This record gives sequence, C-alpha cells and structure tokens, in this order.
Amino acid sequence: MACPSCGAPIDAERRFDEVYNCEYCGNTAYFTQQVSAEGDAAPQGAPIANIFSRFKVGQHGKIRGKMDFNILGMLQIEYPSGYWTEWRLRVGEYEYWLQEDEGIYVLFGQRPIEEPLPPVESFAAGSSLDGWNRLPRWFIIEVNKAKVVGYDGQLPFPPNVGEEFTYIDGLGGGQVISMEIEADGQSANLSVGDPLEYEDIQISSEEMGDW
Amino acid sequence: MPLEAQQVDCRGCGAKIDIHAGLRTKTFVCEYCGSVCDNEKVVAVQDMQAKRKEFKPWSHLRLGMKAQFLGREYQIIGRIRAKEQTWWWDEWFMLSETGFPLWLQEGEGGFTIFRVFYPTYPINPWNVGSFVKLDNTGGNAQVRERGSGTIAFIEGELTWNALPGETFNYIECYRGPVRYSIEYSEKEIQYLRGETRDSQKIYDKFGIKEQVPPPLTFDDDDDDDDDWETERTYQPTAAATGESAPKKKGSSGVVLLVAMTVLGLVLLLTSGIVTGTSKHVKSYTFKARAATSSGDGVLLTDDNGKPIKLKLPKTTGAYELRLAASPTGRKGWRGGYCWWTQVVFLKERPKAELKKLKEYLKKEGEKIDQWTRFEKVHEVNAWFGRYWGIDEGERWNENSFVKQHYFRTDDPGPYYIRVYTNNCKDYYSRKFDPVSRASLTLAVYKNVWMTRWMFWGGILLVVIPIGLFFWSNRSAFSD
Repeated sequence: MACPSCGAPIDAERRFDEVYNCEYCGNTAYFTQQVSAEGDAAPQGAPIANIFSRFKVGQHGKIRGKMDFNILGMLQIEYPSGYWTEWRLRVGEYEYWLQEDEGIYVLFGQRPIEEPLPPVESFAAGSSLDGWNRLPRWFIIEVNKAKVVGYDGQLPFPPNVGEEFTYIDGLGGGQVISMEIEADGQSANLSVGDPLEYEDIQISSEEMGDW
Repeated sequence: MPLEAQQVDCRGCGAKIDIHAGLRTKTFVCEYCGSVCDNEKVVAVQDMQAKRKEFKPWSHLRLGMKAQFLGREYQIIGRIRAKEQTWWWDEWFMLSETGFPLWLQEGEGGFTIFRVFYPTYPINPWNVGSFVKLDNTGGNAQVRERGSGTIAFIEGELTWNALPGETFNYIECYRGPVRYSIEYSEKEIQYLRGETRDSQKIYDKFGIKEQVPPPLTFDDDDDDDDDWETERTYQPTAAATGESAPKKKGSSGVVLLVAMTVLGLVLLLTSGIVTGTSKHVKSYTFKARAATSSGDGVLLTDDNGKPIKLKLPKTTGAYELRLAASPTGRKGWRGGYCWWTQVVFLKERPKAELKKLKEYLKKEGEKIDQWTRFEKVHEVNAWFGRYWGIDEGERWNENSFVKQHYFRTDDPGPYYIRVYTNNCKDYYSRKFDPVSRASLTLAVYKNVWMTRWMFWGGILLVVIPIGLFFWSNRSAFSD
C-alpha cells in the first residue's frame, strides 16, 4: 500500500483502520472496508505540527515495565481550558487510549453502554452518579465541551474535526471514568481508565529521574 | 537545553512573540503592548510597565530560568499573580522539554511544587470539612485555607485559558510538607498535589546567586479592602523589623471551633469554682397541722405562731432559696398528691405608714392581724408532689420534693417570711389525694452566682464544636 498523494509506503498493519495520516506528505487517507485506498482531496484536519508531548506516533514503550505498547495514532482535542491528547495504543491484541492532559496520564479502555443515558443536564462538577451502567459510584469532576482539532497516524474512525461534543469526567473506585456525548445527546462513548504516573510509562530512549 | 521557541504574531500589535509550548500554548502575553492573547484574539490588555512593577515577584525567579526537577530540565515559561483579600502569591508555570508541566507556587516566603493528580478519594469542595483524605500517601490533611482568588497579572505563556480579573475558588490542605490544592468551579474540579521546598534549595536549583529575600508580611485587616492592592505591594520587611514570619489566614472554621471549645471549658471551670462560693445563711423547718392541710390551705408560722423572721445579710451575688418539702398523705398501692407552696418575703412597714393603714382598715371594717404590719416585697411559688403505683407488677414512685429559687435585692436586712400551702386538687388534669401532713424546710444561701447558664452554656460550647468537627469530617472518619 502507498500514500495516494505522494506514493510513500504506508504501514497498514491495522488493516481495519479507516484513517491514515501520511508521515511524509501529511495527506490524510481514508480506507474502505476492502482495504483499498482512496485519497481525500479535502482532508478535514491539518496534520499536527508540534503538540509538545513526550509521545509521538510510531513510538513504542512499556507501561509499568510489563505492558509493551506501540503508538498507532493520536487525537488532539481542544477544550475551554486548553488541550489534551489521546494516544491510540496497541498492547498485544488489545487497544487502549492513553490520555495526556496537563501532566496526567490515564490509560482508558472502552466500555459498552447498556443503559439509557442520563440527561446531560443532570451532570455537574461535584455531583455523583450511582449505579449507572454497572459502574461504581462516580464523583463528577468535570463537565465541558470539546472538539477535535488535529490528528495523526492510524485511527479506527474518521475524526469529526471541529465538531463539538460534551465530555463528562469522573472518579470512582480509584479509576477515571469518561463519557463523551455527541451533539445529538444520544450517541456516546464510555471509557474507564487507570491513572498512571509519569514514571509508569517508559518510552524507548527516555531516562527516568528522581525528584 | 532550553525549550525551542517558536514565534507567533501578537494579535494586538503584530510584534513577534516567542512561545515555547507550541500548539499547547493557549494564553500568551505580548511583552510590548501587554495584549493577553487567547489563540486568535486579544482578550485583555495589561499595562506591562506598571503591572510588572506593581506585581514584582518576591523571589528572584524570572521567566526563562531553568532548573532540574524529576531528573529533567524545566523552564519557567509563564507566571500568574493571584491575589486574595489579604495576601497574594505567584504561580510560576514550568514545562519540561517533553511537555510535562509543573507549578512552582511562591508565597509566604517559601515555595511549593505542584502537579495535577486524580485523587483516590475525591472530595466535594463545596462540602469539605476541616480534614480531608485524598489519597493513600498518608493520613488526613488539614484544610488550612479556602477562598476565592483573582488573577491580577499574567506574563509569559500558559497552556490553559487565563484572564486578568478572572476569579477562581480554591482550597489549600496541609499534611506536613505535603500540600494539596483544589481549584474548582461549576464546570471543573482540579486537584493538585505538591511538596513545600526550602527556598535556598530552589534558588540553588535555578542557579540564583542572590540571597533569598526575607519572608513577606501581609496585613490581615479584612475591614479595609478599598485600597488593598497598594498595601500588598512588594514589602520584604520582616527580618529588618524583627517581626514574626507572616502567617496566612488559617481556616476560620477551625479557629472558631477551637475558640468555642476553649470558651466552653472556661465556662464549665468557672461555674464549678463559683458554685463553691455560696454560703448557707439559715434554715427553717415547719410542720403543718393535719387539720389545716386537708382543707383549702394552711399557713405556716414559726413554733410560736408568729411570722418567721429572717435577716438577709449582704451578698456579692444572688440569694438562693431552697425548699424541701415532705408531704405525706393516703397510703395505698397507687395514688398521688400535689402540694402548692407560696413563700412570701415581707418587710415591716414604717410606723407612720402602719398607723395610717390601721386607721383606714378600722374605718373600712377590715381585719387587722399580725400580718398587717408587713408589706409584700417578693414571692416564690413552688409545686411539690409524689405519684406512685404499680405497672405490670413493678412498683414505681415519682416525686418532686426539692425546689430552688434565686433572687436578688438591693435592700438586705431584716425580713419576715410567710409560708402558705395548699393541696392541688386538679393539677395537670390529675386527681390527687389531700396531704394529711407536711413539713417544709427552707434554707437561705448568700453569695450565689447564677452559674447554671455558665454550666449549660459551657456544655453546649464544648459539645457543639466536637459534634461539628465529627460531622464535617465524617468522610475522613468513614474510611
């Protein structure tokens, strides 16, 4: 497979991915289910120039010295207070999203939503949600709107750049719970994650130090 | 290695501005025109020359300085001057070359390094007690400050939206050198964990050769907030004046609770001491004749049938009258009687007044007896009773035979007492048997202080703060 724009080789080991950002020319490629490539004449988002992170697409490393990971892709998300980054990680046969936000790292895994969504208006920082979707009681620490402003690498879905969504972050049972609700208020993604310390994530060639 | 700078155009004047956090920079300030830029627009303008002078930092830290933390090099890229009503502090924003942010808080003449974290036990900042437990790194942290701060000045760049004049709520908690800071609004609660650092060590890390300035002093006068900004300007004065190190305003709630408890203990102690100063003056015991106690009433006199004479000595407090009655009546398995008693304090009328009164009573055909020469000055009413019976095979007995009454007078000296008793026939809708015999002991004490309010006030002032403390920290105690 090659980039439809510049012809550079594309590492399409994730053959079910729908989006690929060419690391040479920056063009965005959308793939069909038959893994045939089609160039997008008008990509929705510009490639990320400098996201100022310790991570980058293509890196590999370990989490807590045990879990080997590869970084497949990333999303840059803007919210009223700044930016956060979602790194798409492949760990063995599984995929996770590593959220990086102002020095906080959370390794998220997706959870199915089996119960009707509570109305968005019922969430506020400081409130709690108890017993919903078989989750522990979670204390909500943030309710806000955000949008994808950039992306890179391989993604499992075409990002809706610029389209606002509501996110609700909470803490419960020692874990971080995050829900992203689309503008229609109906479709949502639910993720549950474990907070990681900086030192929990080792990236190749990065040395760790003490305080 | 310094952070790589990129240049962006000031949205206000077009000058080239160096930014170091790339796309993550959300707020940057033009050092030339003072524009505070949020992405593509100017959101505020600061008079940089005046503000820099006014909000000069206490320490010698400056933008661009670098130091090693966590084994990596950090560079100061931004500063926020935050102010409260009675003090201010600076937040230095540092970034490593891998984009990890740290906040170096400079206040009270010391430094604390903060980083954002997710607590294991999140707390609701709108409902927080005096102690909190946020993680498993130690015990409870004490809530020392809570309030609302305002951003007074920004310089450099920040990776979040910040605006001069913007206010934020905060809570500061301490556990030894560990500090927790919670900043919150209706949309977001952010938890930060940090450690206090020795000022000299911070200076050494940044390679600053100057001496650490003496601690700042803050005026805690809350009343005068009209021109507080000028009062809180840079004043490293404490060492020169020999004043103690500055103290931030502590948690007013804790101070109030401690003050209440101390006051309560003082009241309890005082009531115990003062109660012991009362002094017995005199006691009298009378017996009512059976013939009169069964009817409408009985008048008690001394053994000679005369009014009881009592001399009230001078007192430093009040007088106490203790009444102890022992009425008896019908025997039986169940029953009850109630005995009403009135003790009247009398003063002898002046002779001229008594003469005129007697002439008047004689003219009107009224009775003149041994009580005519007295004038009522004080009256005490008391009820005594005893109720007994059998319920479910168990005998029970309730009685109320002792009453206390406190009174004051500015006119000590000779008094007379008249004691009048009566059977209660239908008291509280209960039927009672008449008293067949009764005796009454009447004791007078002087130098009595009204310590009951002290005692109960003390109890309340001790119990309420303790209760509030446990209630407000119920989350910490439930762990």
